[in-house]
Amino acid sequence: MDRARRGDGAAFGELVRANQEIAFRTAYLITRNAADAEDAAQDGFVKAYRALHRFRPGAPLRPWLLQIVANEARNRRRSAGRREALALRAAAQAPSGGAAPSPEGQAVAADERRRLLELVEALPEDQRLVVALRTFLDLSEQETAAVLGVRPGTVKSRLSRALERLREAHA
Amino acid sequence: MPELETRLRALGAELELPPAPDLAARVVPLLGAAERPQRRWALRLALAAAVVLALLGAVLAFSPGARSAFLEWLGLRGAVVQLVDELPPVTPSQSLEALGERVTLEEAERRVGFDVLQLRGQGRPDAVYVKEPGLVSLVYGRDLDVRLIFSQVAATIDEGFVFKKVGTRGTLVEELTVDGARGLFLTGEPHVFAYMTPDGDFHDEPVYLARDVLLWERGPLTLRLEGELTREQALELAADVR
Repeated sequence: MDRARRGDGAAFGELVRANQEIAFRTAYLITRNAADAEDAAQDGFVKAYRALHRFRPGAPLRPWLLQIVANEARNRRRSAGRREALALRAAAQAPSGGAAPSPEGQAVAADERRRLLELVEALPEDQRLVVALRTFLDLSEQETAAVLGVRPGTVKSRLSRALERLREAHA
Repeated sequence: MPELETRLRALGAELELPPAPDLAARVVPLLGAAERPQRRWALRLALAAAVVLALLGAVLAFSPGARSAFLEWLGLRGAVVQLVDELPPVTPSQSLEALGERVTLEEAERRVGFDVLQLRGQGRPDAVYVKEPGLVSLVYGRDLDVRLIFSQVAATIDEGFVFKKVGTRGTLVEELTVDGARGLFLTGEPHVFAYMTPDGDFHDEPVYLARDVLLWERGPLTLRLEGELTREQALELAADVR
């Protein structure tokens, strides 16, 4: 980090490598378009490099990076066209644990997962995103707040409303 | 209760997300061109100060993130008005969070380092928000019945905020003179309010769904007054700040 702050591009490259997966996924959940998400993450990292002198030493890096990438992603979401739907991996196996389930059991489990995903996708945009960031990507409350540009308390209350809604819809 | 969250986390692991590209390989070669941050910031501010569109081409070349978004710019020092075809999504319920942290007036002055102006005849503001490094907003009225928001920012080359208004073509922007200084009055269709930080990032979410807005300069400050106002009412209030 110190080397990157002093202008060492290779050191910054290591930071990018360590965070590129989560940055891209975050951008993708916002833009829902792989090409836009790639651009957003790339430009976000370049901006972050340029703004490194403003980064408070000792503060966690990831929320700050993700915030910059998310801003880029939002700028693209507005101008972009096609939005891709989230899909489950075709070869997704039943969750681990216990003996191998029967083919029927697997089919039921796969159906349930598809249904849950549909319910998430049907949430209002702000709730959908908070669920996706907190649970699909496992971002912390602080990281999610940075991405959404809201306070951590808002993340908590929004997530709780979203989960409530999912429970009702799933009942 | 947590069972649903557990299932959602498991679902996340099974999502078919596109593979992340090797961003490090792409980003590192770009870093040489990304140096000299101060210069870029100065250029941004110069753009904000530009009267109208002469630099549009430069903006487009300069800000790849906004390739198609920039149709028109109108600016004051520390303020930019951008007209686009479509507004970004707005969540009015978050509105006041966009103004920053709620503090006392005295605390706001301490943080921004200038004497905060007030609207004479409106009494004490009901709430004061500050967003560092230099944006102060006085809110008159409460909760869903906010009558006026009066924001001020000291915009300099080195640091400061830039107000950014995003409106559609239905937003009317009128240039006028406030107390001898340049001003802009925005009315017509709703527009949104966002801000730009010194590192050049526009933070345009959460956004505030703006009503009629007067933007003007006064001494070193750029001021912004928002409410359901006619042009005359806005000018009257603006003439009476202290």
